[in-house]
Order: sequence, then C-alpha cells, then structure tokens
Amino acid sequence: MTHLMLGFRNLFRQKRRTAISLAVIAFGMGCLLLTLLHSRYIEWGLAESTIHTETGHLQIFDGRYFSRDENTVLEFGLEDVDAIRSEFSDWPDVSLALARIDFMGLMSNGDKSVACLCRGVEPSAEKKLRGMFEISSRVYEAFAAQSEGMECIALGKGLARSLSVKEGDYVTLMSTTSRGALNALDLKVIGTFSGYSSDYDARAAVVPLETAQMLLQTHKVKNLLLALNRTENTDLVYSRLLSWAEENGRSLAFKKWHERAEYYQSVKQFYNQMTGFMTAVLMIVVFFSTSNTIVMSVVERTREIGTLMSLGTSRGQTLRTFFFEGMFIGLIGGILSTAFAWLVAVGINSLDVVLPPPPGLSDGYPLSFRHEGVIYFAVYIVTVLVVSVSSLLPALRATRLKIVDALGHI
Amino acid sequence: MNEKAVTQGMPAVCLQGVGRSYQLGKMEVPAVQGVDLDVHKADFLVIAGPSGSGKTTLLNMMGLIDKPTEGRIRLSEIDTTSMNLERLVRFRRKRIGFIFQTFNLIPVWSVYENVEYPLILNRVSSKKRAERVEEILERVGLAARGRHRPRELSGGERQRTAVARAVVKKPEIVLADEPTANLDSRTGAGILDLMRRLHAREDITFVFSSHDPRIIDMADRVVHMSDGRIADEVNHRRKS
Repeated sequence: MTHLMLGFRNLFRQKRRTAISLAVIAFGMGCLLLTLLHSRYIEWGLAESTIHTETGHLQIFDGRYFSRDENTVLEFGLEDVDAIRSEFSDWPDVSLALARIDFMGLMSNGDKSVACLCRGVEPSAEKKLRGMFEISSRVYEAFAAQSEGMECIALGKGLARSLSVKEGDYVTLMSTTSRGALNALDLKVIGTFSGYSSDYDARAAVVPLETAQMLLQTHKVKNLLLALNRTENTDLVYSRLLSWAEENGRSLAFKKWHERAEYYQSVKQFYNQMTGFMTAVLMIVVFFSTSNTIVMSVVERTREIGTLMSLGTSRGQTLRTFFFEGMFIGLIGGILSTAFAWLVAVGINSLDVVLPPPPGLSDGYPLSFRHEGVIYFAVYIVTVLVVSVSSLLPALRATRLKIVDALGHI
Repeated sequence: MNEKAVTQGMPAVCLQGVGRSYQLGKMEVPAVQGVDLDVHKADFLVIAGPSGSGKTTLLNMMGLIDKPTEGRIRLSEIDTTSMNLERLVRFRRKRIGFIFQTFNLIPVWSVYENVEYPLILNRVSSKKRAERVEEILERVGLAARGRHRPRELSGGERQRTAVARAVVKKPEIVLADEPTANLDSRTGAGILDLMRRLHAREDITFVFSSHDPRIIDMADRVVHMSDGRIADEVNHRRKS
C-alpha cells in the first residue's frame, strides 16, 4: 500500500512532465478510439445498408443452388415461394420475407445495346425493407401499379446515361429464358437510381418480379430474403431455420447476410487492417512516451532509490513503486483519452459532416462515430496495460542500481 | 549463529583486514586497505579524516551497502561477507539505520511518513507504528511538524527527521555519513547533541564520519583515517 501511494504521489513531482505524458496518452489513445468508433460506424452502417439493400438478414435457396451449376437460368431456383413464405409469417423475429430474381440481360435503346445486371423485385416488400439504393417510393408505386403490356423498369444512373434514355423512354430488355430460348420485352423507363458504386450503376436495372418471371418464362425465384427485427438475432433465426428445414424435410440452403456480402467483407477487412496498423503505431508512441517519463523519473530519483534500498526496500518493492506510477498514468490517461474521444465524437456527430466519395463510389459518406461501450472499455484496458507495461523496463533499471552508486548520484 | 542473537560484550561490528578497491580503467585504486576495527555495542564513534581518506567507503561497507574486496565484516557476530542480496536487505532493514549528509528524505512524504517507513518495511502493526513514530518525533522535537513535507522544514529539522527515521526501528547500529556537513555549526552541534541523547536513551551504537574538529571532539572514540588506512585511534571517554 505504501509503495502504491508512493507511486501515485510521484505523479505530482514533475507536474509538467506528467501532464505532457497524460496529454500524449489522451491524444494518442483518443485518436485510436475515434478511429475505432468511426470504423465501427462504417462497418455497422455498411452492414445495415447491405442488409436492407442487398442481402436481407438471411437468404433461402433451393438446396442444390450452391452444390451444382445451373445449365439454364433459375434451373435451381426456388419453387413454391409463397408456401415457404407463409411458414415464417408467425415467427416473431422475422419482419419481412421477399423474393428476388437476379439475371443477366442485354438492354437496347434501338441504336445501342449494353449488357446489364437485372434484378426482379417485389415492389411493396422492397419498399418496406427501406428500398433498394436510392430508388424512390414513386418507382415502387409505379412498379406496383403497372399493368400487363405496360411493363416498366428503373435503370442505374450510369446505365441510363450510357443508353441516353430518360424517364418515359422505352428500352428493350433481352435475356435467355429458363428453357434456354431468347426472349425480349419493351419496358418503359420510370426512374433512375444510384447504387453503392458507379461501376454498378453503369450496369444495373430493376424490374418488378412478375416482369422478370415473364421475361425468363418461369414461376421460380432465385431466393427468398428474410428481414429480421434485429440484426443481432441473425444467428438465432438461422439455427431455427436449420431445425425447421430438418423437421419438415425441406431441401433448402440458408445463408447469413455476411456470407453473401462480398463488398461488405472487403471493406471490413480494409478497415480492420487500417485500424490494426494505426493501433500498433499509436500504442508504440504511447509506450515509448510513458517509458520515457518513467526513465526520467528513475534518473531524477536515483539517489532516492538508493536511500530507500539502503533502508531495506527490496528490489521487488522498488519495481512495484515505478510500476504503480506507470499504472496510475495509464489509469488517468485512459480516462482522459475516453473523455477526449467521447467529446470529439459527440461534437462531430452533431455537425453531420459528409466526406467526399472514395474512388469508385457514387456518394460521400458521413463522418460519424458509433458509441459502443465495449470499444471504449477495451481501449481503456489496453491503455492501462500498455502504459503499465511500458514502465516495467525503466523500473527494472531502477532495481538493478547499486546502492552506493545511487546514493552518489548527482 | 542466529542473526537475531546479539551477544553482550561482543563487538557490534568487527572488521578484519577489510579493504575496498575500485577499478578505474586498467588501474586498481584502493579506497580502503587492511582495516581492523571493533565497534563496541553502544559506542559513539567518529571516523575522522580528510576527504578521500576512505571514511564513506568504510561506512558503506559497515552498512552492507558496499562489499569489501578483501577481509571480513561481522555484524553482531554474524559474518556478512557471504550473505546473499535478500539476506543483506533483511539485515539492513532490521538492524542498521542510516543518516545521510544530504538528509535524503522522500520529498512526497510528510515527516511522519518518512519516519514511519522503516517500521512499515519491518511490518510493525499500525498501532505500534503510530505510538513509536509519535514517541520518536517527540524526542527529536518534531512532534508538531509531523504533517509537514521536507521542503517545509529547515536544514536542522530535516536532519532531525533523518535521525528519527534512522533510530525509529531501534537498530543495533546507526551509521551517519557527515551528518552535519550541510548544516551551520550551531545546528550541527544540535544534531550531534540529539544523536548523543538518543544514543544514551535508545542504547544504539552510533558510528559517523566527519572532518569537523568541533564535531570530532564530541565523540567518545575517534578513529582517524588517512589514505584508506586507520592512522590513529583516540578514546575521549567511554560510556559505561
């Protein structure tokens, strides 16, 4: 206890140096915390965006979809989709079940043809899912209201630009049917949308599900997406789906959202690498800064160390005194870094700052921070550990001093 | 022999052919050579001599904070030459008190805490610690200054604190290296007087170094050193 208190009181000997060390820790670990909170925001935002625009929380496929290659479009598509959907209507965690078809096509304005990636969607369900990309409610309403012979389509902005078409123009969409024949439909352009990247926008188009089925001449869909009330319940519902399929003898394949989100995974990996590198750099800075402070303390207090050891203080007790000093710097520095990061995060979040779009993406993204207690706690613990450990080397140096030399130190 | 056994009549410290030399580059420089000395229990002994005569080196070896390169040192009949570090620490903690020329108080501790520290190291209960610290502060005239930090004290008060710290654990021997060198002569004499009173009351052996003739005159026994050797020994008076 005496050496613990001595370690604490030693903080106030060289107030300026202690303050500088605390400032370095507060700024360094605070910046690390901000990086992690922003990275977490991006990850969380991208996850929710991916779920609500691309993948849903869970996807249901025909059991053969991933084990065999399709010879024709939707050969292993999902049949009886409404029957399957009805099974989940009373599952409390499932908020929505929606069918989709993805297929390749060739789109023409009469003069020019462009290969495109088309998606057949259920307008009302997609609208509830919060809509694909920036497709406005008006487009979904037009999809829902379309009549036979007046089918419509929404194009990615890049695709519309490439074909030089605008709202109200007609395009011809051609594709291979499920039996291998060619088929085409004339579709009225009722709007454009932006996806997550300009490359995607230059190829993407969306049509109502029944239009896609009409073009492909099938009643099947590619898959059924389940949207849940809470993303955290994904694993729970996944397990329940597996049990349900086994009990009912259904040959279905299930995928969690992140297994179908390559873009999300690559962005997450990028951020993990970036934050990992920053974490290492900032920890090294903090480590050496604190270590330097303790080294200076050891040098300045060499005679005092000699005195204490001559009085009968053991090497272990001397080591503990300096370790405690480092630990207290870590404890206080951790609190300061947490406070610094929290204040900056709250301040910037309230300003709604939008950063310019990165190369290859269509839109900018908000500079926001997601407050997660576990990240604050983890960084605090890491701060205390790094700073405490950084004091060990100089503390060991103190214990190796010869008493006579230490007493003669000027 | 058991470390705690202290035999009446036996010397508190016995130096036999003690020498200490330092390596300076390729040269070996002797600081102390062939010292034979018995310090008796309850001696009030001064090691006198000019700067560089080996006084401090001799005190350091007697205090087990430096090791002789030749000879043997016995404290309370225990040969300390082959003691390991842990045993030396325990020995110093229980049996030896130090007073330094520059006081060497811990600046972030109060007077009370500085004096209490050796008792904490010796795991004395908090109640007994409080009693003993108050008793010793009373004796050195610092009862009212217990809460003050060293920087708030005069030089004499600081050295009295250091004296209190040295004697609080009732060591067998107190070693003081030039305890009055940083004090004016009147304050220095006051410190010597205090040490004398504690010596009589606490029955502690005092060995200190000095080159001040007025201080040397106050000692019972004076050992003069020159060039690392004992040149002369004078007994002024012996305490019975």
